[in-house]
Amino acid sequence: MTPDSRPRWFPVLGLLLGVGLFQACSGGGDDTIRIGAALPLSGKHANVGGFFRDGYQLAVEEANAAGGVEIDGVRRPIELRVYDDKSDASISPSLLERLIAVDGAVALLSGYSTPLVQAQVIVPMRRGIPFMNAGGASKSIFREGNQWVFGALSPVESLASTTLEWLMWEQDQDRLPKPLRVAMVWQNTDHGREYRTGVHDVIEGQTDRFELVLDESFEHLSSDHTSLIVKVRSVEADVFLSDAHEPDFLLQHRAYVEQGLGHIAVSYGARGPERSVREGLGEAVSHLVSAQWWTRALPYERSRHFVERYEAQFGGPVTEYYPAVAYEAARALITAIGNAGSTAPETIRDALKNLELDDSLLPGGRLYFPEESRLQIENRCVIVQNQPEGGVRIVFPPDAAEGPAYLGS
Amino acid sequence: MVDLLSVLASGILVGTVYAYMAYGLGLIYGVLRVVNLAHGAFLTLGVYVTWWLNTTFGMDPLVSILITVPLGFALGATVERTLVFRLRDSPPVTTLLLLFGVWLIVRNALYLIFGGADRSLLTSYSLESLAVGPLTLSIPRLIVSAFSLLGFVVLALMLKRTWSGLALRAVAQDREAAALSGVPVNRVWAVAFGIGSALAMSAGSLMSLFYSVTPEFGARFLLKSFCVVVLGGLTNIGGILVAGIGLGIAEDLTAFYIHTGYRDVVSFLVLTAALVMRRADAD
Repeated sequence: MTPDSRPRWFPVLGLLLGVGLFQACSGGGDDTIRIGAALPLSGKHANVGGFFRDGYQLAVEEANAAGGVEIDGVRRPIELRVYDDKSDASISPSLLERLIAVDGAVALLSGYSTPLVQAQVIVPMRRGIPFMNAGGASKSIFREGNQWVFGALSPVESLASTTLEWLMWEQDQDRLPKPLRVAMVWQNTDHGREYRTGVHDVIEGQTDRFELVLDESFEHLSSDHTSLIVKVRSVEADVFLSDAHEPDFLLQHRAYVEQGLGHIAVSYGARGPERSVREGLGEAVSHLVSAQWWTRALPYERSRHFVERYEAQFGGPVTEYYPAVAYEAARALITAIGNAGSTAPETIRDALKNLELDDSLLPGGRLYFPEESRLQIENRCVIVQNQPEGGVRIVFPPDAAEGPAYLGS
Repeated sequence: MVDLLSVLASGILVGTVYAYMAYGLGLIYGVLRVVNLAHGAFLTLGVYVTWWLNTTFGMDPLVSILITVPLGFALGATVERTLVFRLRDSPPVTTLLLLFGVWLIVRNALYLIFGGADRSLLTSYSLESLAVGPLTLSIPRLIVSAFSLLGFVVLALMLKRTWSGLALRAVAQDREAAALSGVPVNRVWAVAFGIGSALAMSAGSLMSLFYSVTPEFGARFLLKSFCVVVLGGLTNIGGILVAGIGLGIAEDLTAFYIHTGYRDVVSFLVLTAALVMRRADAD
């Protein structure tokens, strides 16, 4: 046979062999069920991205230790594949495309931070792949008609509404006056605007309990907060509420302390228990109240189990909520795949819609994805207060409280 | 009245910080006619070196200035000698891009080494304040203001009373005439870039007293520095001090009496107005 007389199907055969080899190398040919995530493992969210990877990995290891998930009568292991999106929202979606198209991921887990998750959700919605979000709480992530994006993190509004619920509970215990004069400032971002909405939603129905005496936004990464704090001082409120990301929180609370302000209660949304905060402000963060999506002292069996496993595997006390919600989100996704008994995206999606974990480590002890809130969980948060000697104490809800809150004068 | 005085005092304190971080930018532009986009890199390096010295050796941020100033000078002079000098006859945009590249390299190197987490310094006086009549003034901000004024005096004396200062002013006014008069222009350029970078790094050291440390630190303040330099007169150190204080007061008054959200709008409005007026003057 001369070169010119080679059959024309030779190149096609070569291509098919190449694709087969590639599939085999990428693991697409085995019986592993692959799920994936694009996480910020470097760049500005690197520290949080690491927490998410650890939480996801722990849930996958637990599932595999229990024999994996049963698909069509056969137990199959789960593999987690993670890529680093470098905290860059322009890279993240293409990594998700790669997870689906090349790695054969049957479902996806989210990255961290609202802007990154907002960029990510376009891919699962277009591709029709289940996407479990534990890294962005903003309602803007869950669009009208959403069928593929599931939220394991309660909305930002819950941070505000739970904080006000706690204040009302304290009023009912006669520990706080009625009406309570509230000064609220919020960062001019999706996060801050939703926090404000949460406060307004509660206050508008409780005019006998609350009087909003200041409602003002500030810009993210402001160079100074002193004039804002002087304004807070001038309105003579009982309670000071703020929603700020960490750099603004550090600067704002510094100005608060420098100006010698004091309120019955001070809260910066979810800010307060982080180790970095105490490193930067020391004792000045004692008695700050914060709303959390999870805290290690929650008296649930699943929460204790997570803390033991996490600390045994990764060391050190788990002080942040990130790995816990990541673990729970991955656990929910794996449970749904098992319930579906199939790796077909529509079947997993339907299983997620019907999922209800009654042993959740999240506040309320229940994880579900209601259609009426566009598949985002709507649990109450947990209110904790920083203790002078370090650590936090749960002060609300009453069934989880470790003791009464310290209230200023 | 107390509120107004508090806001004015805060504006002055913030304004002196703005001025301190802008001195170096103004000096480099004045002598080299180069817009130093790497200024943000030197500010960021200043906060990181200070944070590292504090967390590793327990060194006070004020003491760390003794290290960041010579380090900043050496790094700045090296950047000028090895990079900027080679492009001195190129179009301004080339140098602009080059220095932007330097900034990106420094920023990404810091991400690689330290990660992206916000870090803070806590000293015994970090949260202390001083009561002056009805006013409460932050001790760290008072310290930075004192350094800013000291920096202005030292810089002004150096420019007016020393041979190096005379050489810097000569090159700033007319490079060719200065060269014909025997001024070593190349060395003066390196010295100017070194001093400007040293000022930026020392500003970073002082700002670490109240701002959190991240690789994005420089980005947060670079535009503000530009506003102050443009407003103050590009090459006029005294003008930069006045512009910084003026901007600080304007921002704080706007934040208090109009809306906190408009605080940063003031910088952009002032920058736009200053550029338009300068253009009108030029015409």
